[in-house]
Amino acid sequence: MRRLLVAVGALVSALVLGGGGFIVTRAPNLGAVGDGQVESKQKSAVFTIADRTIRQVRYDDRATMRYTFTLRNDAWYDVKVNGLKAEKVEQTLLKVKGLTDVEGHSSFSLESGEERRVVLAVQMTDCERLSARASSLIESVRLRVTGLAGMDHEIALQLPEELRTGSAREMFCPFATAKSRPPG
Amino acid sequence: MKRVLAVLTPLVLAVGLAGPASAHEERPASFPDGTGAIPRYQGLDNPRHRVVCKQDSAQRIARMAASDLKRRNQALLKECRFHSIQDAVNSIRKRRTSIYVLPGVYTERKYAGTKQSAYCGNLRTATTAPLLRTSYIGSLATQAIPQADSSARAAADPGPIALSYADQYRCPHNLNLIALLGDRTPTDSSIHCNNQLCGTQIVGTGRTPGAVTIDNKFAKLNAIRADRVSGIYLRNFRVQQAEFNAVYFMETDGFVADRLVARANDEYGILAFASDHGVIKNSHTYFNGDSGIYPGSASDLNGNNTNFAATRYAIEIFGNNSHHNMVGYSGTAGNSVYAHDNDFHHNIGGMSTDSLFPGHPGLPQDHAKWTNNRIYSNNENYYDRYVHKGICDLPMADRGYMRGVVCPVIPVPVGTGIIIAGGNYNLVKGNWIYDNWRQGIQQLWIPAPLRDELDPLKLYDTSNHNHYVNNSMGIAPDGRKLHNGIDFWWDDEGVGNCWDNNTSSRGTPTNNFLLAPASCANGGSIFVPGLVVKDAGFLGCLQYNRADPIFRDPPLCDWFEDPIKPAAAAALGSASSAGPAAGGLWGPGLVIALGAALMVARGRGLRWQR
Repeated sequence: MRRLLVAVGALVSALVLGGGGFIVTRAPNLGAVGDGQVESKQKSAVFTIADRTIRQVRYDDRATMRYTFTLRNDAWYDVKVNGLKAEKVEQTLLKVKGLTDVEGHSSFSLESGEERRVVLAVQMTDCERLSARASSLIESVRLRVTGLAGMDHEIALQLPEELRTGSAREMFCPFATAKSRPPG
Repeated sequence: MKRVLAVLTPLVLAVGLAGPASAHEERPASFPDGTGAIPRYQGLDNPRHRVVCKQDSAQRIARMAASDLKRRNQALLKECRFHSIQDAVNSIRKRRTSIYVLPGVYTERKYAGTKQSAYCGNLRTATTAPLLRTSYIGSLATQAIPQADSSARAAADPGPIALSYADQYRCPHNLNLIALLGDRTPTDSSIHCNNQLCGTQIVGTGRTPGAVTIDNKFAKLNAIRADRVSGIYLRNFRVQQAEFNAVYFMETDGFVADRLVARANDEYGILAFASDHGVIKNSHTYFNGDSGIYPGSASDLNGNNTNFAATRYAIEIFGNNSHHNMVGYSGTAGNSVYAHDNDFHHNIGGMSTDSLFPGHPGLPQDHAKWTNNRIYSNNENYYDRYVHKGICDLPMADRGYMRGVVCPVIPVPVGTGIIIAGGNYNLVKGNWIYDNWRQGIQQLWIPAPLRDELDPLKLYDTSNHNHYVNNSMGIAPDGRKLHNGIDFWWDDEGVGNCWDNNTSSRGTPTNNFLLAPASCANGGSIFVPGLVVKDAGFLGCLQYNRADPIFRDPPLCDWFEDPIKPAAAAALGSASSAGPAAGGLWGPGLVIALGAALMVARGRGLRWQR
């Protein structure tokens, strides 16, 4: 009987510890909610097509677009956001430069259920390498987050709107030349 | 109703009010005032003429079969004083002069390798007479190229493309092998032709266009540029191997391309831009990385016309054979173009017109008329065959364009007969559209912001009031049944669109319509609140960049997949076979549509921010 109790206890402990480990190692759930905004100096418009919401931003060479949206911690525990992980596939025209809270902190904490306005900095660049009829699109970024027990995670965060810009024609693309990109 | 007004208001008010706009990787272009006329061919006996020949022209003429044409060539040979077409152009002193080009191959070496003047060679640096920044479109010397995130400029780079007209006039061979520039007063506001080149005719004298070849060998961006040259007539020769255009008409009121062959160009065969009173006829275009024939930003004669019928057409295109290109015919802002009795076949796509790309005067596109064309077998997958296999990464001259390699510049859904990607008041009538394995005709809405038009009133300014009538879908002229993948593809957007009296290899034309639109007589499609556009996949496709190892095949884009050849006798299971609803909209389609509408929780309005 005692053996049986020990075995059951061990099993329960294993399940609890395993489950706990699973909980600890599982990435926290963060979401982007609400309307996005870009700084007033960037010209943009938002439209919905099929199930997608697109924010079209007029290309402004080498300018940095500051896109503000709300980040919400949907996990039951507090997390710390430590900025962005480099994208695996980088868009030619849109280079994600960083994510901060609205006060400019690149590292900040989010309590469980807390919402906070954050700013995504995206530089518009390199039109001279892309045909004037091509475009770039960002739908998500990768966040570096510290969760339970100090575990670090990388989270793909779907933006509330897809950010899109088109490659500028030569008059708005100061470094474009006949050979720097396909004409068109 | 609110949205219908939002559509109509900008159509009524906005089109045609725009001033000069930046163009198809060009300087800002303006439409001619329309006072010109289509020029008439003056034959081989215009008393005002120049004769151009090559060393072997005599032998080539000697090989011609005995005929009046041979005798005329022999007579002209005796008059030959020029060995360069450009030299002959430069010698013209009076308008309406003909340049007779005798059989031979013309590489225009003198101009292909022109040593540039201090001014022309330094358009990015200080010039002796620098233009105002507002009129100079190229890169400026004061701006250094940042190295960290940008590729360095190639040593042999000729500099900017979008030169002002004044710089084109002063530096005609920076970008052009043969240049005809008709406005001798570049600094005034007029774009009229006012020099001796107005009415110039360049005519190959051989029996076929191939007897006279102008080979650019990728030396210059354009092989022939006719810029503000009213009355120009190009006839009976072959032009090849240009990076941008083999034949280029720009801001020209009155032009004809007649019996030309334009082949093996990185982008376009014959391109007209911001031009009027034009004709492109009886020409043959193939192996071009964009379209064989491009009447883009044609004069926007009907921009303010909210009637379906056009008042006049700016460019007429007929009797052409355009095949094995990215598309046979295309035109961003291809306004007021009448294309009839052409063959567009064995391309990636047959014909297209669009409002997708910013900077084209006359957007959104309107009032094209396409009749009696044969649009078939457009299933070539050059993306898979050449782009994805790295062949298009080779230097341009080594890719094999002359052997049929095509490196498509922009994304096109493989296997499509006709694409209207944002257009209004177009008539597609009486065409033979068959054996296009993805779809016969595709029409879709292009949200105005995609062309950088951010005015919320213009969000839905395409695709409205397009009529597709009396077309033979999936049936060849000889009666063979060669199905399209689906006859009509529509995203359910737009008002006033209709599909009437079309026949099909499957009996009734197949389509993907969620809601059958009313007939043309009953006003066509209407706006259904909440009805969602069925596909946004093209947004991913627009990231296509043939030079990028990832975006040459953008994620979530299925346009570059080979379409499946339709089974000979099978109808599409998923496609409905609906004709126009006879004035009514009630039926299963409406139920589905309303159901879909109820399921759509998100708002559809445009939010606007500046």
